[in-house]
Amino acid sequence: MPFASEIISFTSPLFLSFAVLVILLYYTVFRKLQWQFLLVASALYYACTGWQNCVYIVITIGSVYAAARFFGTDRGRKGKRIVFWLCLALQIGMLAYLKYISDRFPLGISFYTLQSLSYLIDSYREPTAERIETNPGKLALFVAFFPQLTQGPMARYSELKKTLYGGHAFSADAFTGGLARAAFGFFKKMVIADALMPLARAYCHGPAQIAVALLLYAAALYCDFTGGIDIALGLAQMLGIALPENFNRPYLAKSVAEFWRRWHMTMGAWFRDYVFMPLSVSAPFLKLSSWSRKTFKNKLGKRLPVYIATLLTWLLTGAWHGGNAWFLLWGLANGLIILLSQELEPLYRKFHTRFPRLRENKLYGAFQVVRCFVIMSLIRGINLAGVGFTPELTPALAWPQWILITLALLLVIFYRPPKRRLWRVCAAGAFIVAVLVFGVYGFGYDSAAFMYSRF
Amino acid sequence: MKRVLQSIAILLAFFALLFAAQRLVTPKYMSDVYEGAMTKEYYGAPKQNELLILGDCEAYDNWSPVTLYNEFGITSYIRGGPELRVWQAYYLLKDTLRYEKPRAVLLNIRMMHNGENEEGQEPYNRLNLDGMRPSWDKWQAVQASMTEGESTLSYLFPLLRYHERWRELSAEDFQYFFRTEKVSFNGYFLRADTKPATVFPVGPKLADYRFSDLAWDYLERIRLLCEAEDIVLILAKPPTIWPYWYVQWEEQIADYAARHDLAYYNLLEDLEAAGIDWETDSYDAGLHLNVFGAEKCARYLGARLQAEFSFTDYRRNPAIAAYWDALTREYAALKAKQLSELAESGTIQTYTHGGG
Repeated sequence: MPFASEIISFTSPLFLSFAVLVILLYYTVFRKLQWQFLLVASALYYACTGWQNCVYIVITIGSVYAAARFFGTDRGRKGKRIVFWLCLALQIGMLAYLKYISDRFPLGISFYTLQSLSYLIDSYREPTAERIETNPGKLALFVAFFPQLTQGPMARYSELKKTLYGGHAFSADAFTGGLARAAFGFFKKMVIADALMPLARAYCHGPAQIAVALLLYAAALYCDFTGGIDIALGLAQMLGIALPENFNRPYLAKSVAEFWRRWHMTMGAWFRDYVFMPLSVSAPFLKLSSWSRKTFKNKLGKRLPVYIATLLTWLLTGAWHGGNAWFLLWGLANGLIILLSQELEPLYRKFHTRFPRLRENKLYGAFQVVRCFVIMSLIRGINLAGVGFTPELTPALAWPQWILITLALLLVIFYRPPKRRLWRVCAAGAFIVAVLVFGVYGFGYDSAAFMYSRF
Repeated sequence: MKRVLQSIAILLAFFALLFAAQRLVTPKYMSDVYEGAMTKEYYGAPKQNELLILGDCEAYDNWSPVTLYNEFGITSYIRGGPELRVWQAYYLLKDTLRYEKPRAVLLNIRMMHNGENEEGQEPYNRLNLDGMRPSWDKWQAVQASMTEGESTLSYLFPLLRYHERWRELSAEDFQYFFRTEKVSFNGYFLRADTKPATVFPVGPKLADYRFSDLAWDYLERIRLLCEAEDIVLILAKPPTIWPYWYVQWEEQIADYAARHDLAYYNLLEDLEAAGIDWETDSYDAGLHLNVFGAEKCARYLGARLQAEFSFTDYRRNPAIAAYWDALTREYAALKAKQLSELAESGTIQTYTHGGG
């Protein structure tokens, strides 16, 4: 495996060695220059993906930094607006070109572009000293902090700066907490996701198998993505840095809208705050709103602009995930189901007025969870189609593997991070042993990339 | 203090668990692919050998050290492995020199043709190198042998290579968790079954008959190391007829031996003197010799070694004789057991000293 592709994969020995070295040096040699050291480490990490990729991230950092500094000056509003739109167009244009047209796809560009855009938009909206970073190195670290670079979570500058640049003394509590979390992430990724993902993609011969495939895919995708996020959050925590949470038990959601408030939360929040909200109050939408109210005069007149904004937001979410039609369809399906659910709200209300005790009924709650899970699995089927079936593989798991995966999934469901330090260390040790024995890795194993690092 | 003790206890438990897991999943080679246990077995044997035999299956199947001792008093050990490469032989020689210094090294030169970075080589690398004790020599042997996708770390921590065996663990893995049985007699793998060689091969034409530069490089390293250590280097080609031994290969080896004034024993050209009978002396139609053939080869070799180099007769040394006498009894017992199994069922069930 080439050096570059090995170091970028969280599960490669090279990355692990790199991470251990960074943590060691961070608290020892560079304890007085921690953020500067992290910047160098992140730059080194990114440079390993190819120097050409660095050009794009440097353009992003440089342009966003310059634009934000410009917003902080006394220049006129018009000039700032022009700079804002130019910078915005540059970021989106670069992302669109590299994602949909060019053969080159710089690692993490989808994530760092959105994160940079959030900084650009926030500093344009509120050009205060609090919002605008004067040190280009600090901004570069915010954009390129290596644990979150490949698959998020997407942080906001105002939140991340609280811990990213501060001097951190070694804290056994933070360290053991981070270690246990990262180890749990490796467990989910290497024991469950990497074993299930090939099965999910191969199990597509008939309706019954497709149902099984969707179930397996749901489990594999969850463990893959949350595993990667746990590793990122755990690493950051070991460095004393708090990254935002990205998941909140999404498969317990009772509706699609709730699911998206629990799954990839930082992405959902980004599209809500920087696409849906601005779109809804933008001049064209306000015009559309007044036109539709006049034209339709009923409830539809009020809702039409919201519907259009919702669908556009979800189309963009789909487009952000991938360039092909499957992802657009997937985004649209999410949007349509959320709108349908909103439309049916009066019906639900009527139903619940008739059966008022049902809301507290646990069985009904379970039904809602299962219903949402099924709907999301069906929507995800589109996503799975986008990723690609590989039925010719038809791998099989031996029964001990099924038992192992079932037990591992139960553990994932019921595991709660231990509060006591001693138990955290034990948990980390147990997860590491489990990964080393039961994980999918080693000779002949192509260190399967994390699903979300492709976006 | 309590915290320190707790930390130590956790660390110990962690490493104990890892060690136990590694021990459990690492193949024991006690009921199949016995050759995998050979490299490690060397370290448990007495280090009192005047002759070291290096090579691939031509080494561990074709010479009987027990015969060499019983009939000539020559103490010997075969450090061989399946599809062994010359560079692996070089590092096995260096590894051996850390424990003992033999008077002569017999190098089976058919392995000169075993290539580098070949498809399917990885399992053989594991069979031959896993058993080496951790050392700089092992590190270098691994570096020289690794094929694409392999990692050095997995040779130091075999758990990283064999962890997927957790789902196919068998009774053997638990039975031999603490201790394995011996599979060889000073590196010789005994087989008493017979399959006559009826067809004598004609080698297909090759595009290139030259041995690889790497093979030559390591043969030269072996020669120089022997020279530096004042060890006699002998090249040998046992009489097995498969794989075909080309005239062009023979010429290259003969030239090399002549150029450096090395003894070269080609038993293919001396079949009559060795007394090989293809009706009775092979267990797989000429690819490997069975115990009867190996004993004949050992007699031929012992006679030449005594004539040309006058080795010490260790049968007069009681301490050494005790070991060899015990080994001879085990050898005879296994041979008899295999013959009896063959007479009863037509197949061999017992390959190890302990009867596995």
